Amino acid sequence: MIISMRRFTYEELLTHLSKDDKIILFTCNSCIKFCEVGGRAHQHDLAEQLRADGYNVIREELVGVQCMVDLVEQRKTEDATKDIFAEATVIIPLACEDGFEVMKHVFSDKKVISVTKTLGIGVISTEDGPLLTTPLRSTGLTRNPMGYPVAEIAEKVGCYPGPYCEPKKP
Amino acid sequence: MVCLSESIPYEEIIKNLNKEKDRIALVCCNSCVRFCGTASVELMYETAEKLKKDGFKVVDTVPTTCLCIKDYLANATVSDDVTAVVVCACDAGVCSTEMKFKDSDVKIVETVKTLGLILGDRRNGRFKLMMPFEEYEDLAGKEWQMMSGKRLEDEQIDIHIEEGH
Repeated sequence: MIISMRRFTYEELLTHLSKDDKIILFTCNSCIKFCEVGGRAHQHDLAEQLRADGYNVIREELVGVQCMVDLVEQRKTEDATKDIFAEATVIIPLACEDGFEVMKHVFSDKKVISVTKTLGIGVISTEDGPLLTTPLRSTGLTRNPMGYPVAEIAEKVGCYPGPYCEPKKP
Repeated sequence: MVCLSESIPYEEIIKNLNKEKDRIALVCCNSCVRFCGTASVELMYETAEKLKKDGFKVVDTVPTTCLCIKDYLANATVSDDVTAVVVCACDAGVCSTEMKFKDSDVKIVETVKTLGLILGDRRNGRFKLMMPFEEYEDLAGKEWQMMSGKRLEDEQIDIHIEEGH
């Protein structure tokens, strides 16, 4: 499982957006969901918060794995989605950095905002959440078979754990 | 597709096992490694049969959908008397196995090398190594064939690798 965290707070994310932007949120539904940053529910919470704050979110899109170039390109070209993607000016990929690179490549004419930082691979546990076991060199961490809980290393790696918006209580 | 791996040769794997003493369990992932052609449920059973044929004592085989989801293996039943676990998965799967056996002397034996994080394109059946782990940084940008694990000579996925990856 790829372990990623948020680069920004919600307020920092807003500094990258304008109220004139036509925004698509585009989440991967794989690792980033288990990291509690992306997935349909967290994406919808973020979309709703942005709308409440006056931003123009024109679509919430989801793909099984965003690191697969052809799957993302389908959204750009197939009838069901091509018009809305043509209209968008900003895309926020809720995905790992591989997913971000794919989005930047496919939608090279748009502003694609890098909102996550990928730390390496690790293990997901329902009890402990995401645990980073095998970090990339950029983190400055060494392999830890028992895993680093992401909340404990967030400050060291300059990131934020969890979703951009806390789920609204029913 | 997360993680790129390459197989460790069988002859190297068995150097870590003892025919006389080890009671061996094999555990496997059926996710990224399957797409890389380096491990899968089928390949685990093949390896188990080969080990048995070569005189090793295989007592358990444990297939999982995704070994990096800790709960799958944590809740799996593995014989109490195993002395070695052969892990058919990437390093996250290895760590998940180490977590399960952390309070024992069970030997954990790897079967793949974990090179780094990839993206893929099914149209040309390729993976590209985008974010390599430190030991494999010289392979950044190289491409592999999906499902076979074959390292390719040329590069066809035209995506730039960011500085620092």
